[in-house]
Amino acid sequence: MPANLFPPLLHRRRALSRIACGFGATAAAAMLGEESAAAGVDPMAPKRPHFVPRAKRVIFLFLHGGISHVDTFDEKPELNKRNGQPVPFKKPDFEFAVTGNLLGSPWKFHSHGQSGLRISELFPRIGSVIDDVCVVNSISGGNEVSHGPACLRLNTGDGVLNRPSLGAWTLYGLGSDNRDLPGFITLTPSIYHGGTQNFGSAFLAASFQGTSIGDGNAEFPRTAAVSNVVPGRPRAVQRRQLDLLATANREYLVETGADARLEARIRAFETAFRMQTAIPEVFDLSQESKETLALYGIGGGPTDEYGRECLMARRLAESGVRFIQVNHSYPRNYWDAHGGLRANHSKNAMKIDQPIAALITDLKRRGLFDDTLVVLGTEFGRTPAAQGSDGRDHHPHAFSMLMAGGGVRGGMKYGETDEFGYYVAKNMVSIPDLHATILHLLGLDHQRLTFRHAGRDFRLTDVEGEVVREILA
Amino acid sequence: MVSPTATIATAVLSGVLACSAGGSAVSAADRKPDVRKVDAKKIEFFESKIRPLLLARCGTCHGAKKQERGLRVDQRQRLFRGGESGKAIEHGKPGASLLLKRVTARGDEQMPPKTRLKDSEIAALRQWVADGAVWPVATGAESSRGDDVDGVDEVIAPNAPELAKSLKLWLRADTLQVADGGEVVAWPDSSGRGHDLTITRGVRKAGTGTAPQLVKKSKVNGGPAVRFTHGNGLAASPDRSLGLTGDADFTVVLVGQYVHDTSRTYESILMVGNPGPARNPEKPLSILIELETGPKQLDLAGGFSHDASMGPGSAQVLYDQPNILIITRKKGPWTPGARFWLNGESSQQVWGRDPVGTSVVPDVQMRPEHGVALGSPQQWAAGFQGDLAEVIVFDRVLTDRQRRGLEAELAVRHGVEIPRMYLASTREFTDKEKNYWAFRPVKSPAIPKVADADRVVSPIDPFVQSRLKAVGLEPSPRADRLTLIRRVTFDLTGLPPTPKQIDAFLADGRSDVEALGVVVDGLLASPRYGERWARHWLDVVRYAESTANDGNAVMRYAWRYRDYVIKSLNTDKPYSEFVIEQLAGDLLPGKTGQARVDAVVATGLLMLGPKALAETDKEQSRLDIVADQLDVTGRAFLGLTIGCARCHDHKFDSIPTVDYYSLASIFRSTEVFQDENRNATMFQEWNLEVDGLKPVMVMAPVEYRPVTLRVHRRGDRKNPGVFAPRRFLQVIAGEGHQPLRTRQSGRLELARWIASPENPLTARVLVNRVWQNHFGTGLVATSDNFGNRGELPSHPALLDWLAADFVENGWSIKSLHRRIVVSNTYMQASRGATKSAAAARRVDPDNRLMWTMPLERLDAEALRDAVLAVSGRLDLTPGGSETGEFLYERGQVIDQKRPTFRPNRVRSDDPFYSDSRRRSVFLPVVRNAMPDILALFDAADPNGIVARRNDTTVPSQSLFLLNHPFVLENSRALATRILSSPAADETARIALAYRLAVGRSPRPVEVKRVSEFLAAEVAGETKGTPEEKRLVAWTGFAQTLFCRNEFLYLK
Repeated sequence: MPANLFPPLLHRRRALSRIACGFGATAAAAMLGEESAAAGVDPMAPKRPHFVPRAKRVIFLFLHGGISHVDTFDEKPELNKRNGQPVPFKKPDFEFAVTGNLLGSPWKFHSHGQSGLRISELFPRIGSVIDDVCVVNSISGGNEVSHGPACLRLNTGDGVLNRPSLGAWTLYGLGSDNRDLPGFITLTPSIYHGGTQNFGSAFLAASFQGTSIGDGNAEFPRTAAVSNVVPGRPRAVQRRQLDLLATANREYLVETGADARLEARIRAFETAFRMQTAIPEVFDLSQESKETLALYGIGGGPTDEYGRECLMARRLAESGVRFIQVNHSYPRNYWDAHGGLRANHSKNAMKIDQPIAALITDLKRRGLFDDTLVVLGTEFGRTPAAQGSDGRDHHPHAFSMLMAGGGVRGGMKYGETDEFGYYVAKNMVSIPDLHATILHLLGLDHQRLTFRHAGRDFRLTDVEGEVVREILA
Repeated sequence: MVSPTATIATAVLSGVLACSAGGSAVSAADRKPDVRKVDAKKIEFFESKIRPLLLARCGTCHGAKKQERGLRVDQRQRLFRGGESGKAIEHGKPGASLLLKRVTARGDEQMPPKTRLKDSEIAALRQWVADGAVWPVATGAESSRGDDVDGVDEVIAPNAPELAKSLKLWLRADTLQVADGGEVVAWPDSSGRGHDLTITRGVRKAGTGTAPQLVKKSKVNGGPAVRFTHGNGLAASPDRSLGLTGDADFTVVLVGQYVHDTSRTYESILMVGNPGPARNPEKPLSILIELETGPKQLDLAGGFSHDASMGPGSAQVLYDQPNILIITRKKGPWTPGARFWLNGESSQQVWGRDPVGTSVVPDVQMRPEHGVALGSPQQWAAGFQGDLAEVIVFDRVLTDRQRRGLEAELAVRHGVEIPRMYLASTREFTDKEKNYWAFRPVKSPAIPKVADADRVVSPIDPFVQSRLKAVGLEPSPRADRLTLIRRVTFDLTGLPPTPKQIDAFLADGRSDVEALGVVVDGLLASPRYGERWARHWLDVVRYAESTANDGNAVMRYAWRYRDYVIKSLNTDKPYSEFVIEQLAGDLLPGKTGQARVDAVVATGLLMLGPKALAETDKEQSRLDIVADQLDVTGRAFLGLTIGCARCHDHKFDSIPTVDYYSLASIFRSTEVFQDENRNATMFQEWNLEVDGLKPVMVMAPVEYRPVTLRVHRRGDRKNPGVFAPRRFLQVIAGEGHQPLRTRQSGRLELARWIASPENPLTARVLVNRVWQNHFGTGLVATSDNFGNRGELPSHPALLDWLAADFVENGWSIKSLHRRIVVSNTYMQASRGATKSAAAARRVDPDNRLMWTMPLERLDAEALRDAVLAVSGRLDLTPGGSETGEFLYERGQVIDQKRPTFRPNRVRSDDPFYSDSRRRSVFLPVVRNAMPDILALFDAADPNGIVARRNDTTVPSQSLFLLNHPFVLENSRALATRILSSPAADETARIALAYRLAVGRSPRPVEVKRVSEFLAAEVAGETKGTPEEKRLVAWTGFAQTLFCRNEFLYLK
């Protein structure tokens, strides 16, 4: 058997990755028969998940800088009661800065909805949709006390090493439904604290990395700020160029013989041509009704910018983009309240409360909520102990995130911290647990989603991760 | 001694055993019926409360399936013994039991980590342990035979609880707050007992002695020590006795190294009591540790000729290397009670010189003017010369276990080698492991005989052809000359051949082989060669000019390393030297002038990795950098994924975790940051001064001090295992490979080991890399993994022949290129849609047997450079500081006190990238902000090692080629170049465009098609003068040339 010369690796994902990596492309395609013919040579082609998914796409709302859990989603009456008293147990081994005594929350908490979940007055609008939201109070970010490693850990699973991001793994596992748009889009990410590594693809093919629209340095652009999407020449001219090009490329293909890469490249020019229209279209918010714009708080005021980003996220979700990250990020929007906690969190919360509630409402009324997983996350919480008189330090040891939509139970709380919010007391959810759960909702088994690199099968969750089944609807 | 608790427990347990066996009452139960009764209750308690609790709350991670950290709670003995963190249960002492500590801890140490035990559960566990942790011994399956938790020397600090009571004096040079070279007028006691030593001022009552000196980089492995010369002396007050009077037990520990000075007969190091000429020969009156310079022996002298000695010659080792010397003495006669331990080994023999026999019991008497003293506290005391890093005195004899633990502590802290400690680090390997193909020595095999001599151009051809023949395949015919010149020019220089070069080659009347040889020589001699091939190497060594992660600080001088690589390739520096310089160029003796600068710059390799500058755990950050250095060393030079062994023995290759830490010890002995405690202060950038040259700023590591790490079990440095002495990979280095003894970091030794012709991997890995870059795939397809998880070589004999030939040719990479390129195999055509190709494809679809030359895409740099070259805008200025200065100038100054620390502010779409006309290798390489123009076409991501680039085809690449200003501008430049050429007519202009872009003349049908396109464009919607319209039309056509598959792919 000639095939025994070099035993082919018929594991499907591996085979696809070989195609993605481009070596022996034709050969591999031939080996794989029909399945690969369906998959084509494009690494972005839609792929079947491991099991029936609950969510088809993810909108990850990332609040950069570390939003305080005890002031938002994790009410701690005991903390308020003992305001100003020393922390009655050992503080963590790993802390970023020196903290003092316990600091009660300056904000009141109220019950909302039928579930009666209590969240702080910073987020009244999120409160109004709380019955659709699962509040996870027991996230642990390990010992990553600095922004960079903590951001990387949240986004890629590892705080130090270069690893593919959650979005990249998602695309690698599922491909993309809309070939005229990037499959992973990140809005206004920070270029700091890991920068592009937070949405990078590391050793996975570059096509899995996130496409960034704008960055944290400037206001969210009002036009489609995708690189190279504005035609360099009139469309009619481009059309003639592409026709001339296609003829030449087809002739060359006859000369070289069938080659999947060359064929893919002929198609890629046509796709690119279409993307020039498709991308500006999806970014054109003028197509939205006044009522919708108002719902998100678009049209000036503190909610305008994040409102536009959240609305954009909905439009991208609608258009089949697989993974959308909406960043509220450094330096323009930053939750890092070492001092001035009151002002910082009030101002930031004002900016995002309405847009986030609107996103959930809007997804629901358009029938997108059930298969869109919305996650609201941050790289760490903030210390229950004070830094200065009106500040809190970084706190990865216990903090909160929200999850909603695609297969998540609404109106529930999961996990608990101790009476001050210092450590997780019940049902800890580590970052790998969170990742495993997100992948699970997407129909991917985090233990089976692997990529062979440098002699080893890598996974997003490395050797950890357990799906948090209690929060699944 | 057996503790009372344990005795009871034993009795209890044997009683239970009897019961559960169901037999009649047996002796133990008979004797203690009451205990047995109580016990039934305890057993009941255990069975109803504790066992279910352990299983339910701990069993998932510490049960039959998983034993996290070696702990297992479903078996009695396994729980009692504990796991890697230590004994889990102290019977009867809940407060001292790790189990209780963990379940009550908060934060990282809390167990179970996710959901805290209920208070009632913790109370139950506490009661159970307090009651003696009764767990009946069962029979059958549960009766335990568990794996041993690996036995490791404990590390016991001088002030550990079990020693603290007897610790009387503890002098540490590393606690002294004195500038380097400054006088040590007082040496404070760290034992907490206030036995501070001073020169004549202060607590002493009398005496003399000048101040010794603090040396920060002393002979004690480069650590801080107090340097004594004759006349220096320090002493403590006699009022606060060490308790070493009369017939005293003691243990004295000295960490230091001494100078052999023959001008004195005796040299006194430490004294307690009265060593002076007390006229009482009956009894030793002091404890005096001294060197006898004549016979070179170390004495424990009791005064007036009472000596216990290590014997003649024993001091030599004290002069030769840093030492941990421990002297113990038991009450009773002087000589038989004394023992010496030098670096963990007992001295062979204790020599006695007591004038009146061995029965003399000492009577140490304190001197009135001072207590314990070092050196020369009295005019008559001889004093000594040498460096003392640490002095410890206990008022009792340490047990063997304690002494060993203390030795381990000191050995690690001072980098002193204690051979015993390393026994556990030595591993034996099976024959199968040792004979793994890539670990076998390289032996040059015979060149196979093949029938068709016409097709043999290079010795590599018979190897390839014999394999093809064996499966019934033939090599492809030779490619035409046009294909060949394009292939070889791009391959060796990363640029297209000019029409002139093409014409010359096509017109060369010599044979293909001869003509090609001439071309190859020319290309290898061109500076463009180094610029091209350096990029391949830079991929492998994760070259970048910023640190990534938090700060992404600019590495201003990284470019020197890049230029070093280019220069090394252009001058054909032997690869062995290239390797050694990159790992240890700073340590190479005999380098002067520019060669010295180059060698130091080369070590920039160790600095180039991503660095977490904001990491609060500084030691962790260093260990992460060491991990990066090890990863690059392993994968770039040896083709091994050593990094896999950081947390556990390598799962696939014979690399035990201890080998990882042995290598890590070598790298940890090197410093990449300027300040031990503040990373963000800056990594090492310093002014290199070399005779005869202007000082040069370099980014290069410096020597730290020899460090011996311990294995970090599960990668956790808070969970130390066996000691990992500095040494190489044991499976390759072979039996008898000894730990390094060098006083340097050991990098030079490691580098020489890697670059040795005997190293089975180095040459194989390099020739394979070169092969990969010529053919697209290596003989070993996984070019950075020659381990079990990598692929086997397609042509093992060829790989070995090339490796052997390479070493024989003086590790010349250029000769290797010639061997490979001027060959029939390389000259094959890329076979397209022919019948024979279809047949071959069925047999060997991946072309691993090389029956054809695969179609190769230009890499990102070659694409950009080719666009610039074809448009006539390429700037060939070589190297230099442009990138570093650009990034530095643009970098953000965030702290005026640290102006050199500058986070990068250049973005991936910076105009610098599209405006620059220089070769791509000279563009800035910023982590997390790679220029679109390169990143889109799969340029190496410098956050990691890239052994082989991805090859993706995605629409964003097409968007770039359609719309990016870089492409538009160069299209216009090409159009201008053609229109301003002397070409006679449109047909000639079209032909020129083809020749420039794809090397060939257009076919008539193509000329016709292009003419039609141009006509349509001129007639189209563009506005302007006819000249402008013409230029726009030609620009449009030129752009399509850059977009063609024929432009991007090479046959």
